[in-house]
Order: sequence, then C-alpha cells, then structure tokens
Amino acid sequence: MFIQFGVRLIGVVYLVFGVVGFLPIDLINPIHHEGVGARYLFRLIAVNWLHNAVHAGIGLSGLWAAQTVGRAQQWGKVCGVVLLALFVIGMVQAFLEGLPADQALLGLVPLNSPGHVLHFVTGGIALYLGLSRSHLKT
Amino acid sequence: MSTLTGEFRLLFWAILGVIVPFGLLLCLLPGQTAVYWAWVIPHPRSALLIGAAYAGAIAYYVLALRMNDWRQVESGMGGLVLFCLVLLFATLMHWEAFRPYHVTTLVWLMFYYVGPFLVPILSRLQQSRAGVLNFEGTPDLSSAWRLWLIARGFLYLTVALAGLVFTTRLTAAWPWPIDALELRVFMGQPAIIGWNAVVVVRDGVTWRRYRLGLVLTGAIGLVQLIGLVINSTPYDWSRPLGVLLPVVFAEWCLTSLILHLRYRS
Repeated sequence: MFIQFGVRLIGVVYLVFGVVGFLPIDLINPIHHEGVGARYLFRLIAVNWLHNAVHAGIGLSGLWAAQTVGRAQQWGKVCGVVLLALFVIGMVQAFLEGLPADQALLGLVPLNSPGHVLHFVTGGIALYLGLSRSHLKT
Repeated sequence: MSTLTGEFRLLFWAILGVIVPFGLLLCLLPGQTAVYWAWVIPHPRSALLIGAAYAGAIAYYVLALRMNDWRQVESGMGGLVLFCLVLLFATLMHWEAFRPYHVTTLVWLMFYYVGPFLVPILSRLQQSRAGVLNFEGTPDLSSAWRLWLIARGFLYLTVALAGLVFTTRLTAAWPWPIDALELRVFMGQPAIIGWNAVVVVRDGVTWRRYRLGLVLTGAIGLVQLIGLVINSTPYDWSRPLGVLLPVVFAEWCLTSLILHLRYRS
C-alpha cells in the first residue's frame, strides 16, 4: 500500500533527522555562529535540541501511523497541514526579517530556507497521502 | 495496464517546468549566473557543464510523456533519485555558496528534496496499478552489449564517487578553472549514466527498459559536446582531462546512437 509506504518513508527520514541532529559532530552538524547560533543538520538545515525533538516526534508518530491505512491517512492530513502552515509562517517571518540566513521561530526554533523547503515538500507529500483516494482503486 | 498514472505525468510536467528554464538559462546565458542562478558560477564553461544535464533531460521527459509507458520509464526512476541525492550532497557540502532565498535556490531545493521522497512513493502506486510488466515481443540486448553497459556503468559510478570525494584533485586536472561545487554537481551526470549498469544487472536484458535512459545519456553527451565547441572561453587541452572529457561525452552519444540503430526495429 503506497500510502503506508509513503508515511513510513517520511517517518524514517524525520526520525533519522531527529536522531542525527542531536549528534554534536561538527563534520555532520556544524555550528553556524552567525544568526541564531544553530547547528546545521547535515550542513544544511538549521536545528537545535527542540527542533530535533520535534523531528523525532514526527518520525516516530509517522512510523506508528504507517501500521494501518486509516491512521496513515489521518497522520498525512494532520502532519501535512502542520508542516505546510510552518512553511508559510516561516517564510512570512523570513520576509519580515529581511531574509536572514537563519531565523528563530517564536525565539525557540531555528529555521532557514532548506528547512522551509523541507517542510513544504514533506508537508505537501503528506497531505497528498492523507487526501489520496487512489488506494480505493488498487 | 502500463500507462503512467496521473501523478507521474504531473510530476514529469513539473520536472519539465524546472529543467526547461534551468537548461535554457545555463546553456544560453552561461556568463550571467550572478543574476539568475542559485550561486555565482565563475566560469561559463562550468555553467554549460551543469546546464547540459537539464537540456538533455528535456528530451527524456518529453518522450516519457509522449510514450506514456511505465515499462520504459520504470528503470530510469532509480537514476532520478540517485541524481537528486548526488546534487543534495553537493548542496550540503557547499551550502555557504548558495544565496539562501534566491528563487532558484528555493526551486533547486524543492526539486532535489522531491525526488527521493516522491519518486519511490509514486513508483509504489504505479507498480500496484501496472502489475507484472509484459515485455513480450520486444528484443533483448545481446550479451556483448549487456557486458558493455555493465562495464561502463560501474566505471561511471566509480568516477562519480571519486569525483564527489577527491574533488580538489579533480579540479586541478580540469581543462578550465572549475570550483568544487560545480564539479560535485556535475558528478550527478556520470552517476545517472552509471545507473544503467544497476538496471542491466537488476532488471535483465529487455531493450525497451533502456531505450529512454539511453536517449537521456545520449542527449546529455550531445549537449556537452556542443557546449565544448561553441563556448569561446579558454580550454586547456594540455590538462590531464583536456582530451578525456570530449572523448567521454562522445562515448555517451555513440553508445546511445549505436544501440538505437541496432535495436530500432
């Protein structure tokens, strides 16, 4: 079932991001001293411990939800809306702040453009999986 | 039923929506990347080197949409994911060179995030619709061609891996001054050509599986050769890769051309 597969895939990736993000290894997650002083997960996505915990939470919940089609679709709808909302809020904040390299959402969660785009892409795919009726035909 | 799902067709249209402007801009305006590209590419030849992949891929996606046949597209999807991963690797190694909120950077990130996530999901959907693929009545590759595709494929996969790791050494041997970022991005091209070897080993000998993939590699090789000829900036033939590079691009074209002539019927 492709819906469960898709939710599991997103879950695994977010869980890996969440776990790897906690590793204080500069080669993988270097500190970006400018801006909000975040680490760059895989040298790309601005994160801190809270952001990593949220990633891990999304991942774990996705893996749990992928066990049944119904739960996977519910997860897709909820996570899709949340991630897309996060993308919109993050982009608006970035524009209001003059497009800095890093920003801090609510002063707590570091964000940057690779993170925004990740939220957009995975949120869009999650919502597609949540709303897809294709499984009824297969 | 092996026609493409609506989702795959939409994805291919979206890909065309990205690669047509990317290919045209990089190939026609290689000296003006400071205006339109995600990072400034100092040398026009480097812009052409990267742009050839997008320009060459236009032929692949147009044909894929026209043929609308999953049997011919399936094998190439792994190559697309591999290409995305190589370019994501190049991006994360050189993120400081990117303009973080430039529209091209945002599209670039979207493009290379979408591949590894969406292609496996849509492939699952497509496979569940298409069922077991039927290649009855289509020719098989001869053993010699099969061996050739495997040998060159693994060679190019090795080149791509070496290029990603030993980038500094390779830039020193390059026939024009090239930055590590451009070279790592270019390594996506030998990687997708190398993917052919994986396909031959994994999926067997049916010619129809390779036809579109070879159109892609042939088209990229052709655009690369044209780029080398038409660009008037200096090209140092005495560098270790000065002669080898056009030979490699010619091989991409010739293998594709000869195989198409041989198995066209």
